[in-house]
Amino acid sequence: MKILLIEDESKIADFVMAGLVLAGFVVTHVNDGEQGLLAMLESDHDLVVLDLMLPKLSGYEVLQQARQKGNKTPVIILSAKADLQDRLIGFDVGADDYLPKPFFVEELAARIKAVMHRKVPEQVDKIKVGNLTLDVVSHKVQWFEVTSLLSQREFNLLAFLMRSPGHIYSRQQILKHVWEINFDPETNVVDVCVRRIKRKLERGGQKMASPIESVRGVGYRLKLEV
Amino acid sequence: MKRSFKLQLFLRLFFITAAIIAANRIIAQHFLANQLRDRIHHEMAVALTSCEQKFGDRAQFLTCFKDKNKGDLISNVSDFYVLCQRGHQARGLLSSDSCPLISTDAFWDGEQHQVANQIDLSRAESISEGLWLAVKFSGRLDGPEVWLRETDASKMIDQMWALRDQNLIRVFPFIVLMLGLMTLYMMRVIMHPISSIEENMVRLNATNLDESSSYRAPYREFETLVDVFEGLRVRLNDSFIKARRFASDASHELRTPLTILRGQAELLINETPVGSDMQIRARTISDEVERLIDITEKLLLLSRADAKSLFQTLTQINFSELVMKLMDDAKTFQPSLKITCDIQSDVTWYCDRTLVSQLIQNLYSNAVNYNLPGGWIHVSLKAVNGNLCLTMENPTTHAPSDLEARAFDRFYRGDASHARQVDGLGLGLSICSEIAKLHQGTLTLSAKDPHLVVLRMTAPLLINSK
Repeated sequence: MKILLIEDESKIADFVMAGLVLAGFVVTHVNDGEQGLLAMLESDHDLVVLDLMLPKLSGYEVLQQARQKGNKTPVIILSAKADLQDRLIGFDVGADDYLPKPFFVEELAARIKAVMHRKVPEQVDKIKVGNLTLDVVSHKVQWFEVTSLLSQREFNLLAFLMRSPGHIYSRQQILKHVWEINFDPETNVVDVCVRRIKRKLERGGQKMASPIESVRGVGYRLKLEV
Repeated sequence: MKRSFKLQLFLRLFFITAAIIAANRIIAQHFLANQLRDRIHHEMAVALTSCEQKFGDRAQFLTCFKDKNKGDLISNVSDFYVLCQRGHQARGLLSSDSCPLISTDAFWDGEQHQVANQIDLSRAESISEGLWLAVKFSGRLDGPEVWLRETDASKMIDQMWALRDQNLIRVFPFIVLMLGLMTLYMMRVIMHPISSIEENMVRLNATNLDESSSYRAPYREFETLVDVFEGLRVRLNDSFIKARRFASDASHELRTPLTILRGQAELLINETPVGSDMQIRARTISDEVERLIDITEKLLLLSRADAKSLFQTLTQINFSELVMKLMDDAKTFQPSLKITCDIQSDVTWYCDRTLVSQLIQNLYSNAVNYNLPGGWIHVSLKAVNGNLCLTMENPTTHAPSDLEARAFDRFYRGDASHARQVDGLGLGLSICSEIAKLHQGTLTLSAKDPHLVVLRMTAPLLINSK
């Protein structure tokens, strides 16, 4: 899947590209509005990631002119402005999604996937990473031959980790995304939940070690090679 | 209790009036007495001259005297004089008492030195040789002049003054009443422009400084005051706007570097060997960046609340469920704390879901941070008369005495020695308070018992559209 990244801040572009490439996208990067518009109109991209504050042409102008010229490539806006009004303007001009800074590349990758799915409707009732399959509807997980039913939290946690295999998330990040809490409750609830998932996956004397790896002092991740 | 301006004004007016009356008594009395005496003398002389034929008979003379001078001052005071016949050859004075015969020579000899200062007798010309002496002083007074003995005139005038004083006592309450009314009236006149300026000042607070006031000074004399005040307001408003904009701009400007920092740190975590010290350090950096992002977001939220540009997306939500969900999670977060709930089910609230969940989380986190080891939290939610009431109670070691007043101050953190152990900024409750206000509600903290903190939020279930 080809992604066009229009971002003037090279340091942001740097890690966004690294993250997106890791997530399996092919990324082209341009660093001003004019080039961005040109690239958008001339070559065929599946999706455009557009920064708002750009030299020469602002993100809004790029998007507006592209849409006027009949370009229908889906666009995700990145912006330091997170106000509702700014978002609404973005959607008005023809953006498909709006991601305020600071953001996680993984989040961007997830949004890209979501936007693509919206454009190309296909049934995604299963998330699959290697030998690990997660059923979105029934909350059943399959790890080699073992099938287990997960609780809501366990399901959310596993789905979150499966969104970007190999990436290590801290407990606080997991709490924020899975429990949707914005403070540090000084709790080991994440560890407890991970332990429960591991136990469910290893049930029945399964020889295969759990795909969730805990990295001491760093956090949890889904092993890349599962 | 400050002194009352009204009372002060009244007392001052009272004393000034009293002083005027007293001065009047002394000064006016002096001049008036002299004028009165001259007038009496003059009228007496005229009367004596006109009734000269009846001098022989006392009763006839009195009748004539009163008839001729009807309505005049002299007829009213004639009773003060004992009219008596003059002795042979005597050129005496009107005299009281026994009317002794006063020989001309004896009189002049005896009292000449007294009267000589006042009247130049050498220029006195007798116009009557009757029983009564009326003299006309040429060059000094017009017309006939009678010369009364000093004591007689004085006695009469003294009596007049005594009458006046009696009347003064009678009118005294009336004077006080008039003074009171005058004070009130003066107060109204003086205070009117001041109170209208005051009213204008009172209306102002941090939230409506920017309203361009079209306030005009009611009188020329107050223009400077109003101008100075307006200048102050404009400057204050400017600095408020600057302060708000600063926080908002700073937060925006911080976003890009923070995005880079976090992105790079996360990249570093993924690229360093799993479990290495380097990776742990990268995680520490990333965690701290996370904190910075959190602080930035909070400051931005507060600055938006100050600038009244905190945008709300109001939806009808089941608030009971939201609270229940967090409390259920909370039970798993802190198994050592005893969490009890008394939540009325299906309380629906028209509110901003994101902000409101932040509010509950902050309240809960506050209750955890300042709890006792192995303590408890009690949460209750109920809807009464179209208002919802959410309370969160927790025991605490010892609430500082200024907690109730300062809990919602920014960066205030309860007990300073305890605060170091607590991971927080002291922005949580301040944010909660702003969120409550945004929903037209209030958040209060009470710590009447220093070992128990109760946070209570009340807000209307439906926001009245303004």
